[in-house]
Amino acid sequence: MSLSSRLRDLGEAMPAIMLVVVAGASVVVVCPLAVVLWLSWTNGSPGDPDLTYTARNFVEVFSDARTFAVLLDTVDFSLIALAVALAFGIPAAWLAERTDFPAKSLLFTLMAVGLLIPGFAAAMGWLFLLHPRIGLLNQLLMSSFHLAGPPFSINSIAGMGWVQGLNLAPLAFIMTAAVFRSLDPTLEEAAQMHGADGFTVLRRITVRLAWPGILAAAIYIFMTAFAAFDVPAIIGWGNRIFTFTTYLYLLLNPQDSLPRYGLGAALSTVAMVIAALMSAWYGAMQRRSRRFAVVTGRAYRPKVVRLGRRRPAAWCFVGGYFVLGKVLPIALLGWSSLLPFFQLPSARAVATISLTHYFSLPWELVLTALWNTSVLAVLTPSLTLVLSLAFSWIVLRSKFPGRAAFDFIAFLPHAVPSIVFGVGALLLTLFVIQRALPIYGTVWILLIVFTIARLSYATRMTNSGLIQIHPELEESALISGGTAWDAFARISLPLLAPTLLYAWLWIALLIFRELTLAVILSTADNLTFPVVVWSLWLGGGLGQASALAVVMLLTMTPMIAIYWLLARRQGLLAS
Amino acid sequence: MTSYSKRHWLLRVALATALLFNGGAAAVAQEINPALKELVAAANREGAVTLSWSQSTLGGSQGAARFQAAMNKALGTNIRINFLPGPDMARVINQVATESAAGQKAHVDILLGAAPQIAPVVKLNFLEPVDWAQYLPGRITPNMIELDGRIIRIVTGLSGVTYNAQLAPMKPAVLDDFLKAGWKGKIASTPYAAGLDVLLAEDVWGRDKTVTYVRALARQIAGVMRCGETERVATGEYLALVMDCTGQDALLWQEKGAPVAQLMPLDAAQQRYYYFAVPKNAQHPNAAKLFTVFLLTPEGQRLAYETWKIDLHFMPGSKMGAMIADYRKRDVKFKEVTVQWWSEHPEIDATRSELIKILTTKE
Repeated sequence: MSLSSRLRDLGEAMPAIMLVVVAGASVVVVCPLAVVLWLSWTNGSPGDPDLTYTARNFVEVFSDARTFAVLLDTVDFSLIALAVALAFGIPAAWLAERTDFPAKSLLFTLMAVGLLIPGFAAAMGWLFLLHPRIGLLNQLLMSSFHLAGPPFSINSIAGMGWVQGLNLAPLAFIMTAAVFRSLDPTLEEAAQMHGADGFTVLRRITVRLAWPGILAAAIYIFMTAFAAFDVPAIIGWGNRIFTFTTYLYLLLNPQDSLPRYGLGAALSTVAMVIAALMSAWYGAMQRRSRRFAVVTGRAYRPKVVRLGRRRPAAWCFVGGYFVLGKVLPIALLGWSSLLPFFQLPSARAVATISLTHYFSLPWELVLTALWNTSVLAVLTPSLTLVLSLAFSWIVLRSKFPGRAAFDFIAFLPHAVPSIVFGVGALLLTLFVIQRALPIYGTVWILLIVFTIARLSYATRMTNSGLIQIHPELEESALISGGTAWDAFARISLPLLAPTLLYAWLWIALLIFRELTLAVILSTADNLTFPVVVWSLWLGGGLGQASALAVVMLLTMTPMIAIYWLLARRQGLLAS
Repeated sequence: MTSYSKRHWLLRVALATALLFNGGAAAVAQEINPALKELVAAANREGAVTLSWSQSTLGGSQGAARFQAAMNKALGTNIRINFLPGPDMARVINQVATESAAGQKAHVDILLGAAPQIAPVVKLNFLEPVDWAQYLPGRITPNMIELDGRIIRIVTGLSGVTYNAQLAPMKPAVLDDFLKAGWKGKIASTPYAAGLDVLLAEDVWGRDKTVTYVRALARQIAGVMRCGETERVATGEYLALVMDCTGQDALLWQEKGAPVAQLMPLDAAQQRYYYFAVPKNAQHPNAAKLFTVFLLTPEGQRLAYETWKIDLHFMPGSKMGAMIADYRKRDVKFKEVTVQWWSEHPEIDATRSELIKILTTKE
């Protein structure tokens, strides 16, 4: 058989190959969750011949008052984070989409970039800013107003929620901006024609129209905060405030016994149930929000509200967010990185400024971690997008029975907190498949789990991209004698290229800052950049951790700049 | 002469020269014995050793670089030390125990821990018994070895309280002082009840007194921190760490100009040992053993003191030995905490989890 006919056969076999790929990937997604569910009903170490089945883990988890306290704290933390994120995100989105605010492009840019700044870096900065004893702002306020005690404390659920909320505000902005963009202005105009003032229009029309979309965004942000690890770990850990993720980490790494995987798995199943309920609600809200999407078509332009004399207030609001959310914590981080130990600004402190922490960083380790992170930042988005394309093609273009199930599986990593996937993958590679696939403690386990974690986002991107390409184009190629692969590779893929490039870069940047999964799965051989920062922080090297966080932000800057250029070229940053 | 034997001839000369400066000619004759020579060759073939502890222990990553240079220079080896700033000792040990149970290679080659971390996992039988004395006869003595060579003492630590001498509301003398109002909400303890767990032993404070004290202490503390996080005391984030692991960090921070001091509480003074152990599933077991042996040479002990302000107190010329003698002159009575002693006091492990829970739960 000639090479061309072999290639043709291969091209014809593309649907079958894609189905195999998608089925295989689905197994990989489901396996960690299955292992978690399995181990939650066992007693003893996995692989132990004496392993027995029992409900003891659930009994122990739910008979411990601490579990409920932790879950309650997690809900409080998530609600506060949500409130803060919405308080900053919604007005910013409204300014960007519905007003004549002059720097919309800048606002979009800063918000998108803000989402990429690692949460742990901001948390470290906020500790130096609002710690009750050493916090710069507290000390300044106490000395300026002769206060007996610190007016603020970051070491609380409210403090943690504040920091997490500031980190999530860009997410709230991006999600609600889309809602404001699609609101029907005619309803607002009708209200105004009937004599309603601006505030009444906002309250009675705009907010009500936007409500389902905002609620869907709120559920998503709440779930993200619920599964957050970095802020609770940096601020809460030392102050004995545990949220779901840090408590799960504690159960997996106890001080007084071997890891209690059964308990961790039982707690994870609780999170899976909560996540499933929230996802169902989120789905319902999304469907409901579409009922209000009365505006479509190219001629649509939302009505622009003139800010007039309120423009300075708008600038102050936007500027205030960036100073609070990004500039101040990062500045404090930089200050801390220059001192032998953290001190408030003074002549004595200035005299001790040096680059010692930068020079004394474990550079060999940092470079190894940078290499690992770079490998992951290249391979993860590539693998994720290849799989996502296969998922989207099977779901949207094929006629395979039961293909909708694959879409559900691809959405699972969005619904289930990623730390649960991390725990599942750890147990799977440590105890179940260690002989067949010895990837425990390697970069490859991180690659697989990072890919799973980003699959939902990537499939949403490829789904929406593929939906916009009419199947007739591919059908024409098939009629003209092309294979399924020809139609896909020469028609769909080039049209999808801008979307894929944007998604690739976005995933790569998120991988660069990923801490939760890396912490759960890290060993000496697969360290990533954020894990080294975390290890230094946890090991008591606060100055070194600050210095490395600054180095990490600097390292990310060129990538963020490329992302910005690309997104700008695609019109994703301009309103 | 083959390249192998040539290398070993050079090694012998290098080692002899190094030890001549540090330990004298008599020691040299002993220390280049065939067993050590064989270990050196095996370790060199492995080429690396992976270590993981906190940045404040044995100098962290910078210390690891110094140990690597010194060991390779002294022994003529070319072994690379892969250092990972790690989580607390218990987590590393528990993780390696889990890896062993799962049939995986250990992610580190040497386990570092004190009695509280090592005693609970000894029964899992994943530590390699080593005939340590054969490598440095005369220097490595039976009183350094426990559990048939599965663990070996490398340094002596003195548990007490590390505090910020500048911001402290008073000069403390005993543990009860930290229950006074001036300290409330300003101090920390460890999330693993370091030092406090020893008090549980019947021949120290006993369960009731210790639990009562820890409950009262838990109401005083603002948070928890690891022993290696003395910077938090230096910055004033916490005014004291009740109790610490070795307290020698205070000396390191004093050198940096931080107002940190250590209190040796008269009612709870403890002398503990830190041990090295080589797991059976180590990836570089010979390099791990060689590093351990090097740490016990005069040069290794000198570096241990330079990087951690700590050495093995009964070694000749030990600075810790002088410090302990000085404390004893001041009537401080230390409880010597060994793995053997810990194992003879099951009442500690019976209540230790309770202490940890009290300390890590915020009321």
